[in-house]
Amino acid sequence: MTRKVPIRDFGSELPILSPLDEGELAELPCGCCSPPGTPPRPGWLEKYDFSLDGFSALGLPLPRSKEEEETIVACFLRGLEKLFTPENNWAFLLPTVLSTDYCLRCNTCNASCMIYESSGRQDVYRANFRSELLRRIYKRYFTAAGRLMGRWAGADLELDWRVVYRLAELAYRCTLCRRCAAACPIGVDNALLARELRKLFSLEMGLAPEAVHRSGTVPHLAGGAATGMTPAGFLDTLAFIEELIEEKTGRRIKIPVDKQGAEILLVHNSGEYLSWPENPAAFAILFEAAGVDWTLSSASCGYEAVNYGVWYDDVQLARIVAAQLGEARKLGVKKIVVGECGHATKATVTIAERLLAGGSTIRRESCLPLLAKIAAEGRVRFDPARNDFPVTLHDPCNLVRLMGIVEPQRAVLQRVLPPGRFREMPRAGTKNYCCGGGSGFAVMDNLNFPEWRNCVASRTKARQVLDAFADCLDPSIPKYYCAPCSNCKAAARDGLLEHYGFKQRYNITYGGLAELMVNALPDLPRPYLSWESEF
Amino acid sequence: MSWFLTGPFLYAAAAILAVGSAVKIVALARLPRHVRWELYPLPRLGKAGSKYQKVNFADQPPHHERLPEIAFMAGEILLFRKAYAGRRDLWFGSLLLHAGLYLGIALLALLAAGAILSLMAAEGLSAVVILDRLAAAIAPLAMAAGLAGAVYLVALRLVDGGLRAMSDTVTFFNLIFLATLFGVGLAAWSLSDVAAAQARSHLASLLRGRPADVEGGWLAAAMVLFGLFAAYLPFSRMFHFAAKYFFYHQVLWDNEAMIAGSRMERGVAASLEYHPSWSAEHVRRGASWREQVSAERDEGDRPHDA
Repeated sequence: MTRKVPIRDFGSELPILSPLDEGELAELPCGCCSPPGTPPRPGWLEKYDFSLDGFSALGLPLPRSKEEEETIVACFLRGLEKLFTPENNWAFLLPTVLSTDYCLRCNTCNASCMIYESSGRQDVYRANFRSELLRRIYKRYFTAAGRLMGRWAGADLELDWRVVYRLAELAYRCTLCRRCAAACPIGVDNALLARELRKLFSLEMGLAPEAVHRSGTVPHLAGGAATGMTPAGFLDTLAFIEELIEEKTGRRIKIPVDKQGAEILLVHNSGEYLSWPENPAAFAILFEAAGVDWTLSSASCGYEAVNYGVWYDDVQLARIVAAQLGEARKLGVKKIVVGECGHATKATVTIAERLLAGGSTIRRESCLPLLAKIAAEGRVRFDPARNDFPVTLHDPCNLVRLMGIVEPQRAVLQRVLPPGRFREMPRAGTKNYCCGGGSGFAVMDNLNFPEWRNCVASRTKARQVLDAFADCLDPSIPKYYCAPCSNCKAAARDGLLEHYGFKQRYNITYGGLAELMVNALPDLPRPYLSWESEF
Repeated sequence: MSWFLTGPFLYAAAAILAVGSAVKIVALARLPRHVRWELYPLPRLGKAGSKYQKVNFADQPPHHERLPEIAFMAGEILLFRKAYAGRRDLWFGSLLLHAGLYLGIALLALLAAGAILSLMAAEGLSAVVILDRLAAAIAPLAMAAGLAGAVYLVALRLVDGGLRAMSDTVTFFNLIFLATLFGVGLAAWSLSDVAAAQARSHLASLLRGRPADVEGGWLAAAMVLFGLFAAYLPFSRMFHFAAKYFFYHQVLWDNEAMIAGSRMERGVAASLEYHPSWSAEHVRRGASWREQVSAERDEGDRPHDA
């Protein structure tokens, strides 16, 4: 039973407007089910707003007085007005204006939205629901037609603090995968409007998920990395990775750091060093074997590829871009190559280009074409027989739908897997679904938000993976879910493996692309992928 | 009153359409150059695909294939392929409605051509007669298709719970307005002007600057409704036909590289001088975008503790 929520009732005084009922979630194949969710703890309910769907991504403190309620509304309206001015939003103004003004409410976007479908088609998760709220509020308060004619001009939503808070939470029920924009006949981008709402809340009201802002971009700019890894800590980690490489391969590799004038500055998501060190280790092994002239940077912001600003805040986005490119320029490298991290690649390679005048002087590329070149050019030999297990490939939204990088990763898999071992997921390529961790979801761990993420956002990916391995789900067969993106791997770890139990039930594990390449090196003493101990 | 509505009012409506459209388009075109926000696949890249799939892509010359882009645009403009793929039920009504609109534009073009010819030569010129006959043949098709499409879409939005929930008053107003326009047009054709000669003749009088009286209430009503539609169009969502150019060519398909010293870079440099007034603590008060960024750069430039 889907829960009907008319737009004009969005500010209803119901304690929870659209509670998530797990019985309504889209079914998964093969009898796979998710553990029941737990309701918010009583202590939380007294402090924070859970009134959208019973979950909280932002931990918004409940207003304690009428004045606080009025301040929330006034701040929101002030921010909304700024969102449509070039002074405050030149970087996204045209797409924002277009998507606000020209939606025809045809709902074509809805069926493309994995959140809406996974939730059992709850009204509040429609791809165009939050955009429609935004449009009606804007029309009601900032257009003459809306002020004069109200509902007759399509402006039938009165604003109160509940509407603002629920809208803030709703902005974080979209992974910004942009399948909706790809499906829209007009080109309306509801995901962009979700992002613009996040921006309004961050830049005007100081409201953003803890993990993304206060524990994300702020320590990134102050200390060097979103994970809090300092330059000294980074160098310690590299020493550990060199030992890891020796232990796994018998080779002693000195990872180049701060090498002036190198051809390539490789930047990884710093989460890789902490959670999946075998990924940066694999890059070091491959680059060494291929004779690539490369370096890492140990400078603050020089060793961190991520840019959380792209999900919620233009000021933080631009600051991080400037810091990253500045470090590359100081090293005098020919180009930056971004490791296996989708949003970082998108932010650094394309979005950065028009954020800084003169900032495009350093070339920036994804690592995937380089990995494909290494796989193809023959200097490094691969033995596909060493990867003799079924593999499916996840297409990270930022790399594939938003940058069009579709073929290199497939070319690599062709070289390092035996024939017949690779299987595409249903709807692969630019039509692929988000991993469930997109737009910051993978790192957002506030209150009970991870439960919502795993139950709803990761659900479609769980279905895709099960469909891809439908002929070999027997747990005696090890299977590899290749996700060449750090956030996608985090979503796989927390969603697919921990929440849905894919490792125990189906012997499905996950990892990056470089690890698969190294696992296919013929002269390793033992497999690089350690199925039991590492995953 | 009838003379005013089918004469001066139509001039005013045409002027509002022209000026309103120009103002809207110029306003969109003059917005600052935004950051890259494209979506792949880009039709003009053809089978080569994204340049980001290549090492040293910046050395590659820009790839632009006209044919796939034109084929995509034709598929969208004429057949509404995305709507077909996403919502078959809605696509059917949309196709009918737009067929009515496209045929309506063709009808207007035929009437205008006939009117101009009749002004230049004799009324009975064979070309004028042929154009009249073509217009008379197209008119009922245009009106019937447009009427059927609009009525179908209104009905669908009433029957389908999801569409009803997301439709606002304006959505229904626009569709009912279109249904009325096409319905009255159909009545005008069948009851007042089967040969379309009156419409052409009146258009000729408008072009001559001496609007004539219109005989037949239905035809006059159709003209007044058309005038209202033309004046309303640039300020409504129905202007999406023009906005779609910006959606696709300026946003979804915009992968233009920023070249040092280019006009684009000068535009971005100018935008960086804007002073944002966002209120959050982490935004520096009174600083331009360039200063917001360079402040953090300085911080990032401090000696490393490694």
